[in-house]
Amino acid sequence: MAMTGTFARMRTAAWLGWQVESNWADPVIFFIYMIARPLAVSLTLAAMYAATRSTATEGAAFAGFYVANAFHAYVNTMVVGMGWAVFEEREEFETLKYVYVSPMGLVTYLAGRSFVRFVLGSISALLMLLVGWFALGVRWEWSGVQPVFLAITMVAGLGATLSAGFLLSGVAMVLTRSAMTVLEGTMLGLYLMCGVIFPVDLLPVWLRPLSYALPFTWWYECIRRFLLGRGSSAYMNTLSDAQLLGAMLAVCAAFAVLSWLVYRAMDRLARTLGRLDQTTMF
Amino acid sequence: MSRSPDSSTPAVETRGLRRSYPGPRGAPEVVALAGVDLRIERGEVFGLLGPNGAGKTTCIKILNTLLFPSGGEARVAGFDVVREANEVRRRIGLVSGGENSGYGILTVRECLWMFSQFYGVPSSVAWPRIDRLLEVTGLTPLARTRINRLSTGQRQKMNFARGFVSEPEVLFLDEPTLGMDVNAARMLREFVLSWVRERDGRTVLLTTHYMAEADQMCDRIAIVDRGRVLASDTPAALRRSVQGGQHVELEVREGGAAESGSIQAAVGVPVVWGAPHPERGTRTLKFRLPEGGVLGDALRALEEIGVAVQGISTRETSLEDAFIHIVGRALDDEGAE
Amino acid sequence: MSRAFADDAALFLRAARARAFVRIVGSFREPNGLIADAVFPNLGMCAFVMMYRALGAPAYYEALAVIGGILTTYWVNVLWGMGAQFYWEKQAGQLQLYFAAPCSRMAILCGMAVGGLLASMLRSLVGVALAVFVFHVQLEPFSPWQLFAVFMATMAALYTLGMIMASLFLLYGREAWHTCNAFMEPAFFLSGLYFPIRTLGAFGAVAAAILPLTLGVDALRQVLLGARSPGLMSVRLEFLALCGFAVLYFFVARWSLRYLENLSKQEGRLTQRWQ
Repeated sequence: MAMTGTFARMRTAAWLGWQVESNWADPVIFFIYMIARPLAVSLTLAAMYAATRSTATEGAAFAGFYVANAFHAYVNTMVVGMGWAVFEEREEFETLKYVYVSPMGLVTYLAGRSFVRFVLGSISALLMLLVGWFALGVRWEWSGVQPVFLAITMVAGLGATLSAGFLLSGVAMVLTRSAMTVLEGTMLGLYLMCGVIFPVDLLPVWLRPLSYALPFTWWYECIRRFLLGRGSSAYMNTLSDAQLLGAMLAVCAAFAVLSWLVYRAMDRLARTLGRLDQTTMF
Repeated sequence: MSRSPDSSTPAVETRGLRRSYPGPRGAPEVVALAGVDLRIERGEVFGLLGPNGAGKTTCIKILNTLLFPSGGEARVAGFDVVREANEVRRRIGLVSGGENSGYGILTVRECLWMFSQFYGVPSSVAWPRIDRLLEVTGLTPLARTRINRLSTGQRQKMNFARGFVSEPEVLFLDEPTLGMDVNAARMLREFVLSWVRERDGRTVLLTTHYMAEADQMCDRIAIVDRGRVLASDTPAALRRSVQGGQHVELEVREGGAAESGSIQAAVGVPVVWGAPHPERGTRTLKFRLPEGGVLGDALRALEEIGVAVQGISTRETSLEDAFIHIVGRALDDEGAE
Repeated sequence: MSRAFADDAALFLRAARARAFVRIVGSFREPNGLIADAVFPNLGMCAFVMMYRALGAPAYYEALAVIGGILTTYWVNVLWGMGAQFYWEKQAGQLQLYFAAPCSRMAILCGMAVGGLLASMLRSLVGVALAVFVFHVQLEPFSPWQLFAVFMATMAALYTLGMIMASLFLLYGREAWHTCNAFMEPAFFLSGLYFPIRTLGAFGAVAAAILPLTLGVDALRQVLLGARSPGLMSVRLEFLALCGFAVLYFFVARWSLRYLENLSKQEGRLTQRWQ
């Protein structure tokens, strides 16, 4: 009974999320917006590759970067989207306090809204993979794909994405208008730290532990390994498939626990600071 | 380029001012103003009184050059609000109650300075003026506080002060005391009155929901409803228009079977329900007995339809009575749009 | 000079200064925002540099990605600090106060531009520091005056384009927001911020004819990297084109502001929140 209620509330939140994301915009603009951004990123990577093709010595690594970049769309849309929902509800619509005190609660609400973002992220990722496959020659051998490992990877990676969404939502609750910059900035930070478009071995030695502590570093490496059959990090290539998957699951689980604790702490801090109904007016 | 104002022209003048909005998805258009004629002389404090949706804010927006009228003409300080909008803007100030003006990152003092600059007030003039306004509004101790840390009432006071930093010729106050406590509202009402009296030719156009505020502040009042001016006169003259007869307030027991319609039929005049008194289980019922009407007859008629009267009082005509008489319902009636 | 003109000019400058003040003060009073603003965007640039390194590309590509990355700072500011700012002003109920004030709307936008430009300086300085101390970007000897002229022309063209975008928000809400959003990565691509624009061939030339960012980044690379970065056109021509863009956009913005202000007053959308 309680589960049915929670599901119904999440559905309501998802419906609202869709209205906010789509209905207020001209469908043509929304469609372009949906397609233009991921397409442009794909084309930028392709242009970088094309520019260096004659001189680059490690061109074969490009496919791994491109595929990871496609899956990074989930992080971009879901994580930023959930943090953005908190920011938008508080600063723009001034409804965060009402959601917060409603029986639905903010956690259910954010989970519901993340579903819409998941759908949008899926469209982006799929589009980038299709462009890669048909236009840029980023392909893989279907026989080399490890479906079970890949499926586990996807579930764990999306779970980590949801956890990161809650973490950033908590941070957005406490921050004022600067939450917008912090959200976008965190995405760029993850883009760098998780080695989406380069092997993390290239990061300075002192930064690598942080990179290995992030679930997305492992997620992208697992996707490369189990989809393309070839990872990009020299260090991670020393691990067997099972070891790599096990490491990813462990990091994802630890990250989920940490995210939840941070979210709860930020929730309490926001109430202490009186931020739930405070607009920055800037 | 600023042209000299012609002091013989009225501060505000509208003729047949109309404004309508397209209805949602093929529905008929919504008429906010249906031909408003107003003439407000320089030096007046003029009130626009009407229920929600009467068209007051639409009228203010048009006079502030924020909205084009659909028809008719409006002039402020002698300038046409459509064709000479820049000249109008140099002469007006606007305070809307309940709005959040300014940037949360600025202090109260900085925010007021910023707005003074949008009106071209030299800083050497603006700063002392701002300090004086902060004093009047009681915000001096908060002068260096960021405005996103102000309470709603404090923010509203700052917003109020903002309207005066440019020393406008015509000041539009749209529900200015909304969100303020009683003392602050009284202090600011007094400030507005002294501001107008001390400066030659300054005009205030006030919209408010508070009858007492309109009664106390306004030299003249226009009562508007559904986009039309139904009456326009001094508060005393409006009250006089419904004098004669007797204003009766009955405290009747709640839960009686009688409907408003049957009560009205029994009393023979329109009735208005007042505030309930849950602790006593009663509610106030107001009506005006016409000249020659006998209260005893009305009470008997009410008793016959099962209305239990617990208390009776009669009183002088108020502006609210005049409003009910002219509009046909109270200011806060749900029947109002 | 007539008295009236002097009054109007004084009003313009006062309004622009006041609006720039908000932007500059705003940046420094939110230290977490300032740090996030200065550091985070440069991380994206670092990722692209790393990709070149991972592909084993010559160091020259890293240098051009760094220059492009520094310019993204300003493009992001143009989109969100100029274009979308009126959206926030409208949502906060502030826009109506601007439009009831006698100062020119262009003064408000110029103030926002100058304030935004100065506030973005810190971010670009962090980018320069990264270029010098982390990526050891090798520059050719260049004329500081030429660099200054090209940079200022690029900024003028970008921020006047931002003024045009801002005018869209007078009438639209969410649609304009999505449009701004959609201009992010596509502009990065069309401007060749992270790769030589010549890679796009004729398509790149078309992009340069539309987006001042393309010309700006190309000209700056030519100035700083010399012969290693062959441009679409000569620096002189690109400088002139950027100046032309700035003048054209300024007048288009003025017209667009007036036109859309009138349209939104007609439709009653100037003061409408939650569009």
